[in-house]
Amino acid sequence: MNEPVVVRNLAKTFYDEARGEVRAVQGIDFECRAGEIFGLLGANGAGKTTTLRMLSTILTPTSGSAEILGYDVVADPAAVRKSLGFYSASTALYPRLTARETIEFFARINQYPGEKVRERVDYLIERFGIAQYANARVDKLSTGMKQKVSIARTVAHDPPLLIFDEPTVGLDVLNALEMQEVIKEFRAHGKTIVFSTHIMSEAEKLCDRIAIIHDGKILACNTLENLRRVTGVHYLEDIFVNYVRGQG
Amino acid sequence: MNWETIRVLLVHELRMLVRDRRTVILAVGVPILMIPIILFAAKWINERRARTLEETVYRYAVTGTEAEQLRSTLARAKESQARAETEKGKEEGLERFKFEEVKVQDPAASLRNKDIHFYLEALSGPQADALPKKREKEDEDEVAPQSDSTRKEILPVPTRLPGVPLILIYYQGDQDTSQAGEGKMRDLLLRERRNGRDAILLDHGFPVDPLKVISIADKSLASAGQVTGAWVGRFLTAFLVMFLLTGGSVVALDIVAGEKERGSLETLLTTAARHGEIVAAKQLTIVLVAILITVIHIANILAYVTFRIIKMPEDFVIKAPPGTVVTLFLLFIPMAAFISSILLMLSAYAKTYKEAQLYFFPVYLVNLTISFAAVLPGVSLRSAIVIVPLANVSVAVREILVGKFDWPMIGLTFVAMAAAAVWTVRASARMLSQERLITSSEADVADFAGGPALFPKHVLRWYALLGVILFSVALNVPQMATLRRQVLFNDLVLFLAGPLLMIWKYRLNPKEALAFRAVKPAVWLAALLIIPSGNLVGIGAFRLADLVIPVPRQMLEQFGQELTPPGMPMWQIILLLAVLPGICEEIAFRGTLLYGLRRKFRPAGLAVVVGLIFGLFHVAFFRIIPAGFMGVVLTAIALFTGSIFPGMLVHAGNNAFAFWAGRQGYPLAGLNWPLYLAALAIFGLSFHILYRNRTPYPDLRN
Amino acid sequence: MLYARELRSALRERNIVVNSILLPVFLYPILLWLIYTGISFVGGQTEGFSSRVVLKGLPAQHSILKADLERDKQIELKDSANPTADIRDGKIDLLAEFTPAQGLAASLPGNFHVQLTYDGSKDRSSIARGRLTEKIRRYSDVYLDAEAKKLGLSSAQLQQYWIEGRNMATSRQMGQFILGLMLPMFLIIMLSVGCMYPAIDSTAGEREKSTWETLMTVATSRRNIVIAKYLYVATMATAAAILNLSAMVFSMKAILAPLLGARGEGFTFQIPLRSIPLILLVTVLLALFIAAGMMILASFARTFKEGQGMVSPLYIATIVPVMFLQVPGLELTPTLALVPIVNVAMVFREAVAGIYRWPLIGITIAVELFCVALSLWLATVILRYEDFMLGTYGGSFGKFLKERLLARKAPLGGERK
Repeated sequence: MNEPVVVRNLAKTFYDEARGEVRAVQGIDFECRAGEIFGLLGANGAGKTTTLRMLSTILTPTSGSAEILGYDVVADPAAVRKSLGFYSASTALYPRLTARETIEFFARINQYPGEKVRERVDYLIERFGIAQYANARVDKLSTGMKQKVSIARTVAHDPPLLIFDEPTVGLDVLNALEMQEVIKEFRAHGKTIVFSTHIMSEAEKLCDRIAIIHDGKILACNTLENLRRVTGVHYLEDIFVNYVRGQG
Repeated sequence: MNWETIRVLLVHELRMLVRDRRTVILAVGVPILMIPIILFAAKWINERRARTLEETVYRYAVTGTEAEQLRSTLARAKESQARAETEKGKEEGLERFKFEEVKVQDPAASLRNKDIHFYLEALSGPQADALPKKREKEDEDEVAPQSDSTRKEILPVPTRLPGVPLILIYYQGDQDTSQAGEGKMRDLLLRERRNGRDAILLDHGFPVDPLKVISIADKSLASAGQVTGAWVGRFLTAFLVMFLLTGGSVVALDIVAGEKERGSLETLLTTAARHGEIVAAKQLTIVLVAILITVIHIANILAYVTFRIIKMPEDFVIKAPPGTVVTLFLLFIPMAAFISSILLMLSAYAKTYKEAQLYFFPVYLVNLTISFAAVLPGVSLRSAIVIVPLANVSVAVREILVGKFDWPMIGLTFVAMAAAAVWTVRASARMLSQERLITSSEADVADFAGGPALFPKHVLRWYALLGVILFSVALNVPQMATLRRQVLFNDLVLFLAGPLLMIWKYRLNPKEALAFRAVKPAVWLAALLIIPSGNLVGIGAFRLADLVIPVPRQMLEQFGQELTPPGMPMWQIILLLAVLPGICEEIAFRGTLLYGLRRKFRPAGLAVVVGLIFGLFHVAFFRIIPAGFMGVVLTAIALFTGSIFPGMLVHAGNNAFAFWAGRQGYPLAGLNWPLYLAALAIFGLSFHILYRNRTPYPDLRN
Repeated sequence: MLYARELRSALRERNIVVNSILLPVFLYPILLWLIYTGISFVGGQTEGFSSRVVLKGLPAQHSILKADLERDKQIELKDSANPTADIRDGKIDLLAEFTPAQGLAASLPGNFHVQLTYDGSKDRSSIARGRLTEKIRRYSDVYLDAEAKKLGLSSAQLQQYWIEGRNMATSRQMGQFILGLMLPMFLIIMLSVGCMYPAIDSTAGEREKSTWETLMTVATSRRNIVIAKYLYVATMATAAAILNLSAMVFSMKAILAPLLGARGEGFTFQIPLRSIPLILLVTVLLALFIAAGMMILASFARTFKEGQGMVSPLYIATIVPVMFLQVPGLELTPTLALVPIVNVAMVFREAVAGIYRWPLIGITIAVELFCVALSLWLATVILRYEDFMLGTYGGSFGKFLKERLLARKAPLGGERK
């Protein structure tokens, strides 16, 4: 199948001087279908961020494979990164660039066609309503404004795949809701989105399919409806606990 | 490599730097201000001191039985001053020496109270003869003391002859004017004495002017340009390194470490830019900024020289033909790349800007120190220094500026420097890929629980402290001056009690920490064979290296040299210098140190690191490498056998062998080559036996 | 409690621990080892230098000179077909050409002239020149002596008198002289360095870590918070200065020994015990002053890096004046006593030498107290402004100065104590 994201037996082991081996991700398998929002749901330390970092080539898998739009994350990391936009609460902006310069920089660095960069930047500024402070330095912007600039730079090169790692962490209710709307809009535009969270309501609202991850393993991967049917409980929180405690 | 990507990144970095006004001002503006202030301060201090000393009217008193005679001499000296023609050298200053006698009751008290600058006591010949004999620290003609073993000269060192009157000049050495006054008075009296001698000779019919007896003239074959080149060459590389490091650090410390801290590095790593392109762009930024700031500083200094704000000596002539400039430039390029790589590596290794700054200071100090290699007299490029980065460029620059072009060595310098630059660039690229540096580390269980898990993190600090104590005590506690006491203190207190303390503090298992494990019987045979063969192999290896790149003599001699005081009985030598170190030093180095570092490095690296640390503990420079070599061998034995015991035997045996050979007068450093080859064969066989009977050290890093 | 917390947290901050504690403990022994190793290496190099000398035309009647040169292990007599080329190539170090004296000088039988040819750009060659010149001069004296005897003059007559110097300064005084030259500058630098990190970390660092606002919400007044921080910074600065000074005094002899050579053997490096209270007092006052200044500037910054940028000019301003005090023999005068920092450096220098000019010391203390009071007053004024506390000045002290202090606007949000 030519799914945009194909993960087979992906594992990641860290080596620590004092503790020895730490197996953060233990052989997980999943696929994301084109145009869906695929959610990775798990508690802190479950392995969500490690998984997404492997997909975005920041980390190298210890074993297994992952393909993004046909490109292997180990063999062809540059092509993988060119095809995706990665957003995380920990991925910050450059304080001394203006909003416009930030978006333009990321468009160029991700090899968006040079002659179209200007147009693309103007479009994104317009789309995310940041025209008012497009020429203000990032370090002068409020959290909400920075969030918008961050999203804009994530999609600056119009990638077909987007990865959001706990994107609403630290945001207030309104900003978090806005983020959710934006993600839905991306899906409407045909983007494939991999989305990690530990907030159950978010996963319920956004995800077409959900993978429950715990202790580096995927315990379940299905639509919400199917998960409800299999477990016999309604709320995602209960479903989650059901799987995790069952695992334990 | 996508050059467009690199260009975009480079422009981006430079733009951000330029917008950081404060950093730019601090990096460029402040040094431009500081340098003239420092130079002005130095100049002002020197001039003020010189002026003070010159304008001072030196007050002195005269005492002693020959006071009147002395006063006459001084009166004559004043007359000579009045009509003197300026002569070359230090006597020039004597014409401006102003002195006046002051009558005082108690000259010593007046000197203490600063009423006079110095006083003279003139003693007759018999009185001087009656003075107790003591070593005079400041006899008038004393030259720099030479070691007695080298001087058995026929020409006597000038001393006072019996019956000759003595003039003592009493001064306060802790007062600048008093000391200067004494010096000037001494010179004046010496000149008068010489004039007096000449007059006596001429009065007695000496046929020639005494000044023309055995006249000396000298001529330097070096041109003014070469002499200037030698002087400039000593410091040029060091100054460039200083400017490159400080200039480059302006951007380097923040370029990775600061980005990591802010989180924008992760953002960058998720773009289509490859790691190599990111590293290349950042490196290029550092190099450009470092070079720009260096050029600004040099232009600044040149401006001061051109406008004579800094005055150079009259014979300061810089000759820089195009060939010289091009050669220097070619050497400085890999040097700049190396330094910028080091800075990038430092920034990549640190997690935050603050941490990067912390690492910067020692890195700066080490690199700067190495780049002063050209200051060392007599160091030639055609020596081991050619493979030491920065030091090789320093010495090469000095030789080039003097007009000496040793092309093979210059080529080797370039290769060594370029290799070092390439290695550091690759290391920094690897660091950007090391996940623990990119991802924030989670809280470590060891930090909470303490105990054995914490020991690997702290082990090097402990050994740094032991090293500091060893060195400080040796230098500052006079009671430790004897060999016996030093050995006992080092072995029992530092190398035995130290590890025991670590074991107690970190709750280590003593058997595991000290590798107290049994070994197979054949291992003992191998250990016995390694004792003599290892010693000879080490010496042979260095002699071999000496053929290609000269090694200092002392280094070769230290391998087999007996270092014991003469007359020390053999049993004491064996006990104190073989058995005790064999036990205690093994406990310290192949015990707790090896245990603490076992997971930090792979086995080969571990052997080198532990061996090197062992070598450094031997303090004296010429013993570091031989001791380090032995340390590597002993560590390798421990890694093969998983036990400390064979190493104890080898260590004690090696020391005993060296002392015995020294006592017997066997020249281990001067044997025939077949003997070294035979030793090598036995050495190899011994390690083969170890390998075949190995019980590897447990829990090593793969 | 706040003060204790600040101290505890500082001792866990690597930069502060390194700069204030570890550096003095480890740096000097390491420096010593480096110097020791360097001197050993250089010594090994130069002692191994024998000067390779070619003699040409030395008259047979002066064989004593040749014999002496042959016996000297630092001089190696060589032969050379082309000495000039060999000197340039570095194969030999010096050519000494002996020619009979000319003109009137030839009246003395056996008189000669020596032409020394060497390469001034090579250390070995220059050293060879020095050695040979000294040898020949000594021989010249011997020769003159012998000729004088022929004229009926004794050596003693020719010598006339002998001169010796006697240093009346005790070894302690010599040590104090050297300490007095080196330590004041060192005190200021170490105090400033020891102050900088804690000052920045406790202000800008807190803003960066977002703990500043947390701190503002605790159940105590802002004044108490600021006092606690201030005392903590001053403590760290004093501790750094004292640790560094102690380490340096302890290591001074060993550091300087290779440089002073035999002359330095007798020196005692000790600070008079009765000077220590005075030294401590002026150090504490100086620490209070510099701490206040650095904290005020650093508190405008939003990040550690910005804080460093703001504090660096003050750091430089404290060091530059002291550079001018390196003149030996400089004394504390009423004028110098009025200049902050410089006065402390001079009091310190004189206290090391056991000199106490009490009126001027009194002026120094008064001036320092005044500076501390002024800084504290400035800090109090600044603290009243809420927008400063909330950090909305964008890290700009200049902007704050212009808009608040110089425009004399009322503090926003009313005064807070």
